Amino acid sequence: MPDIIQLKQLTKAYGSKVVLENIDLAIPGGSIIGLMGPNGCGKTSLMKILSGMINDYQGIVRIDGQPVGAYSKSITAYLPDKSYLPAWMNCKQCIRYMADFYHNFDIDKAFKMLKSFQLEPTQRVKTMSKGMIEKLLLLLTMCRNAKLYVLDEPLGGVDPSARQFIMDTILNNRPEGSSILLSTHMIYDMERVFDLVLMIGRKQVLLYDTVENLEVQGKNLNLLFQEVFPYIG
Amino acid sequence: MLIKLIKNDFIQTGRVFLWLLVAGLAGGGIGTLIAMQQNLGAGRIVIGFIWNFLLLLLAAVLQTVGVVIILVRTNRALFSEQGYLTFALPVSTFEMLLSKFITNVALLLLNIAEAAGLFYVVGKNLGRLVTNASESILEKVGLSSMKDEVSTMIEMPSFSEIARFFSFLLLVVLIFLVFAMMVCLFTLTISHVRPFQAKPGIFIPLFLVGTSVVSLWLVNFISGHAAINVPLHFGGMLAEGVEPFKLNLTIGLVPLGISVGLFFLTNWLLSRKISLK
Repeated sequence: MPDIIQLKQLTKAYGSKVVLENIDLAIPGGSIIGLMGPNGCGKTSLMKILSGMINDYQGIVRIDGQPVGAYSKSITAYLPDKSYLPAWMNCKQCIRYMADFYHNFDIDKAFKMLKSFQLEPTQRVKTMSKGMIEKLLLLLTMCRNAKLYVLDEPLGGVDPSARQFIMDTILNNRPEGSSILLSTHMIYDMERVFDLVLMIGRKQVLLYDTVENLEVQGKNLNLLFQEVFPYIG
Repeated sequence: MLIKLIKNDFIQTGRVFLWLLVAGLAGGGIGTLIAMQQNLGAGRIVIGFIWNFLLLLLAAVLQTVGVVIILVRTNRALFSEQGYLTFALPVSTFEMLLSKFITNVALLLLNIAEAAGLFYVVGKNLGRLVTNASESILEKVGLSSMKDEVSTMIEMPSFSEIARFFSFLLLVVLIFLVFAMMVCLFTLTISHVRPFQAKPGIFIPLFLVGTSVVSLWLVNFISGHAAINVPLHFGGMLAEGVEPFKLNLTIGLVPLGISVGLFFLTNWLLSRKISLK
């Protein structure tokens, strides 16, 4: 499949602090990519760049062969690590808002998922718990028939049963041929679902390979992470 | 997409903003009802006067709160966590900025129209209070001789007079709103990009005054007349030897030109320099 993400000489700095430096990368479409690295290594920055939340960078970024812009945003579903929904909106209004702007948003599926997630259509965001908001955000992301899903720590800070629920929701609702770029620290839980592993740190790509290759070499992701980032834990 | 953006911007800002408009309309309606009653007693007259003076205060408060709501909402939609929703939309930054600009100018125009309406209603109501008051009350307060004069004063002016006045006023207000809104949007954006980071409230008045001074200086430079002629011109007291057409044109075009320049500069900053936290 053609590359869904292409990065050429990508550099991102916050003031004088460089987090990503001259990164070249091509990620093929249709794969599930695990993005890993220690805190502050630039995982979130990379995801924000891909989804258009950061445009203050140097280098070339292409999604499905196009620069980041209206087209790339229409085919990329981004789940940030924070709640972005206006507090006054209720679930129904959130769904209608997304359906209004994204032609690939499946509104029927959204209302079905709302029911299965046990969320009230008229409940306002400001009255929801953190867990409920996370469910709603996941729903809004996965109800889009996108080509690329960019999911920033969807499993962060949730209990093991919720983790399983989130993973099942992501995998069961992913359209055929789409790609998922997912950042996580839960290496053990995720190893089985990744096709590719991307580890970044010290401003560079430190490892980019298929899980299959790593398995052939007899490498376990958890041990590999400690090998690549020896200063962690 | 632009229509969808404008629709959603109206829903998001208007849902708070429209309550202000309703409050103004309700206040004006109640004041009018009090003033329209015949043979008002002393108590009703006092209440009527107090209510109408409160309406003037309300008009001033609505103006301030309206502007603050628009700026806070715009800032929140673009640069807070809600920005993750706004900037993820499959639209160009040009469309996004244009929708914010159109919505905000339209809401501010509504706000100004309501304030103007309230002033008009208060003026009419104060006159009505005097004409509808009972003779005995007016005699007591020494206003009986004014009753006929006030009745003449509150007669409606002709339609053409009103139309002429409002079309001129609308043009001036619209130019000012376009100018002020672009200065605000630019200030909000630049304060989040650099160099002074996330304190737009402090910088908006400074930018507004700064760009207004530049605008007046340019009007002065292009038209060849001292900037003092601008308020004189609006007041109908144009100095001898000043060419009205040229001055009118520069007064209109200079702030519009600055607004267009700021629009494209803001658009560039939003599409090249945004780095959401």
